[in-house]
Amino acid sequence: MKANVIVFEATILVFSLAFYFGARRAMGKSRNRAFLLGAILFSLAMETGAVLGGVKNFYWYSINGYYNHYPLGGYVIWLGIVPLAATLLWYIVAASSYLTATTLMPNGKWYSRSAVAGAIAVGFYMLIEPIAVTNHWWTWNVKSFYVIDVPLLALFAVFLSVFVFLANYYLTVADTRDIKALKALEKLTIRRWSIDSQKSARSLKWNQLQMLFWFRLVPCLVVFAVAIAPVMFLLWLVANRGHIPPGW
Amino acid sequence: MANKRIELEQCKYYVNLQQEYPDRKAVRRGVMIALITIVVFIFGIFVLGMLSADLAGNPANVLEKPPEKPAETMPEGMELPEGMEMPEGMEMPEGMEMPEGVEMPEGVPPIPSPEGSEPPGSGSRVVGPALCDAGAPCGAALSGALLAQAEPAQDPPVAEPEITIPPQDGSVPVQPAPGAPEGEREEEEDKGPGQQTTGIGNLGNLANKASGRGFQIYLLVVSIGLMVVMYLAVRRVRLEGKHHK
Repeated sequence: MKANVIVFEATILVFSLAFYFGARRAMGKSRNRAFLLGAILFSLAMETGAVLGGVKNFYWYSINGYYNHYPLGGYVIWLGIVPLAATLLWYIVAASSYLTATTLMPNGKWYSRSAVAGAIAVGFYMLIEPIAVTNHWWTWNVKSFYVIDVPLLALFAVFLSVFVFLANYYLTVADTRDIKALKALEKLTIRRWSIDSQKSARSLKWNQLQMLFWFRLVPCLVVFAVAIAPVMFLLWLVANRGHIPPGW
Repeated sequence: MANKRIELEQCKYYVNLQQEYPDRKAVRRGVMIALITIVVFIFGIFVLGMLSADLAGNPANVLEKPPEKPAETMPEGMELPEGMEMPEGMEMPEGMEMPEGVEMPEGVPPIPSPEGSEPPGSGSRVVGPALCDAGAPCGAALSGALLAQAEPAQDPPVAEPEITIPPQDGSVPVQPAPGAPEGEREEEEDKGPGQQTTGIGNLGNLANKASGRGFQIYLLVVSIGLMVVMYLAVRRVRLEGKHHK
């Protein structure tokens, strides 16, 4: 029997709704909304980059007529070249890792909580990835070192992405801190055009703080890309599976 | 007027605080709901994994090329009897021909044979009036014939992508498209992934270990690990709730 993409998509939609209402109480209505939107934007950017860079894709099999066997033709809701279900899955994983890490380490520093949350997220993907590649929910194309048909790169990427995203959330929304390294950039861009305030993060209104959180996701993406590039290169050197050329 | 405005501002601030920083009781309840949802989610994913165990056992599954879309047209030279219509979703297999000397009665459609290239009279299947002659009740033969035609599963090589026979050595062969000439097949093989996953890299190897239950055991261990972490968090929230009572 096969757990096809329709089943996966439906499962993710149902659970993301149920989880959203739980997290709304736990994190606060506006905070959870900001987290959800931030997670969707962040994961969408990463996944789109991965598809465009030939690392993975969600439609390789649809090109080859694979999804013609499914009643609705594969994924139903797409955000460009990435299905909504993939981004919602990342939200569920990141938010549940955040809640677990925060509950288990109420007095922990931002980096230790983010690291623990990243490790929990890796656990989630260790469960999901083998099932996903087996059922062709997505396909890894990258030349890398694979363990049970899951590239190690994917697990590193999950840890790094959740770590960076939650570090931003802890620093900006939970602790309302100013980040020295980003001060000049923020002064020239978001604080001049959108927030229209040069006050410290602690003195900003909620809407302004929310904007700042979303803006800081851009440097987070840059940090993620810079950190994952050497790992990608190292795993490329010791690869045990080649790249799948497009159209194969 | 100024006082009222200040009051309104304060009230608005208080409402915002309620939204952004809910009280601990609400937070505890929310964390409980979210984490229990996640435990159910993990269980759901585990069940989906169990359903995929047979696919995971095939070392070629992850990289195998999907089959071509089945042809939707009737093969040349094949005609349906007058007054008959093909059932929806029904397709005639390629290369199918009616056996010589066998005539279909009016209103009875020809029966597709899974072994399309099999020569007539080989004894694999007797159809139509031949069944009546053999002593079988005609009505049963006809309804059987209709049933046989109404089952599109008669042409499984096209409709079931899962059917692949894993090689014994654990390597992952590239599967060329069916019906392609040999030259094209070789070209396609050249275009496939340069290196195939072997050993630890192949999910099929894990799945076929422990009497074919390797994948299930892996899923069980990871799921239980995650559920234990979630349980620890839920337990902590409950303990905090008890302390505050």
